[in-house]
Amino acid sequence: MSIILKNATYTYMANTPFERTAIKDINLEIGEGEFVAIIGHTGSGKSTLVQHLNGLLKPNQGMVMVNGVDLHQKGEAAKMAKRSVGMVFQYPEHQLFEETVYADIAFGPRNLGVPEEEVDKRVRRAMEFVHLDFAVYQDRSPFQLSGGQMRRVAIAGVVALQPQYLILDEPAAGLDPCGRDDIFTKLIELHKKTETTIILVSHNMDDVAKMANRLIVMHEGQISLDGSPKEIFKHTEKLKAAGVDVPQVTALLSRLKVAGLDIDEHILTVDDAVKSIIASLRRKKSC
Amino acid sequence: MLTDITIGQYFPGNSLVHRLDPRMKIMYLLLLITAIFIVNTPMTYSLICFFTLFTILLSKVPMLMVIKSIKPLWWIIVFTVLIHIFTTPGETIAKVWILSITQEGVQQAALMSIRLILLIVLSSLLTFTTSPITLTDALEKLLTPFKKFGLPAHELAMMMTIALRFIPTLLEETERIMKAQEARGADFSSGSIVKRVKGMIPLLVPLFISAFRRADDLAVAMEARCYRGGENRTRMKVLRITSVDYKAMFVMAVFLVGLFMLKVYGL
Repeated sequence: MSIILKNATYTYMANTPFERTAIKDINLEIGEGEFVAIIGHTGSGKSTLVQHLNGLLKPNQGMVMVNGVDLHQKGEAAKMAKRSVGMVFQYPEHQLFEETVYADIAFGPRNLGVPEEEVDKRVRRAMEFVHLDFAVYQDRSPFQLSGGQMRRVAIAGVVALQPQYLILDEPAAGLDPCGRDDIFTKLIELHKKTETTIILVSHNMDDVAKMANRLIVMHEGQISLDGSPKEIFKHTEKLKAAGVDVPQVTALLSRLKVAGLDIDEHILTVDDAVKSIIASLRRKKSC
Repeated sequence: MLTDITIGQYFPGNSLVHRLDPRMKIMYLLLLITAIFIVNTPMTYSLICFFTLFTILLSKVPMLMVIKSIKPLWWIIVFTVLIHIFTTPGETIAKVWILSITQEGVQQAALMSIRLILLIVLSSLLTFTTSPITLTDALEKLLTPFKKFGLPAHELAMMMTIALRFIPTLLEETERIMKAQEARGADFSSGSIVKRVKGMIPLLVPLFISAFRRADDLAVAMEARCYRGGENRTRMKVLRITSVDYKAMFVMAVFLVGLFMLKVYGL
């Protein structure tokens, strides 16, 4: 069970002077249960890439397969395969339209033909997931909420679809640090509890480095690096070329190393960094 | 895809036609349109056709794009041809059921369809070779004399600029919302008419909200930069008549006078 992209190429406005190739000859396999982060500079093709994963865009060349089914064949199988991939777009709060929060979250499951009792359960669970009190918010209009709350309602609307794969395109863009941490903690929880495959698009290395177990770095429509975070951060030159930074902690440690501290610089979280610095200082004292 | 529609249909380039002063281009278009309606002989029509063809080649806009511009008005042309073929009185050459086709009808139909095609091609040639912003700029300049009669020239031009500016943005927005709702299982393309109209609600509500939000943001941004309408406003790029324009004016004058002479001598 996996999502597979074979030689996928996509060009916007083909055959006009505005033609622009967004992704070139991409080969990619994302397995079940992975937590993948796709990072890249603005315009590197990451948003275009993820829109292929649930069949919203059809590659000009190549194919997309989800759980062994070609997404662009006709029939029920392809429809079911598309439904197993949920997608949260950039600024998802702009897609809200219903009169109440409850109805908006229920929109997706109802479209899938889920029976009403099950819809109710799913809405409750999804609202719990995004930290919105069911009793307080269910009958509110989504347009009376604050930006952060609207974002959470929109994410709940996709989570309620209970997709096997969940794609999030910059879910934290424009949120305060608190809201951002909240969303990311919830994602890690969802990943652990339900084994949902999570594909996260971001341009911020600090956010994704500590969560994802696989990083894909996009550069000019192609995959420039693909591997575990620790491996990726060894390729500083390639990262620079792609226009993404190593996490600030990693950057700090490598500068300490240059300054003469005997230290392991391939570290991704603040906690680990603290431990490593203390250990190295102790070693220095003892000798 | 919605974004494949190129409304405003500007075709970027640096040809002679692109470099002409937009004010003059609008005037040429008006003159040519008048000419198209005045002349009525095969000789003069073929001259205008050649002139149009010559301008297209000079503008370096691909022929395919020019032909595509006729497409949206295709039905109007067909309709006009049919009406003229069947309703013009004259010498009958064929009969279909109770309708008769006359020789004069065929001539009239051919004439009218050429007129229509020329009108469309020439006007789209203007939008192909002039960016929307310069076009509205030129319109404002041309309308300025009418300010005396209370015509808000600057405001009209500003409204047009804003509308043109937001067409692609709103199309993009529509596409984005459509995709987002499709990803939540919405269906925009199947089912009965009632179902489809209902299906538009998840698209239209967010679209209107975002359009109003954008309008509001834009208004605030304009106010924050002290926008107060057209009074005493100067421009960074001032429209200027250049040597290319003088040459074009000369060619245009010769051509129009030529047409007029032919018309007078009844050729």
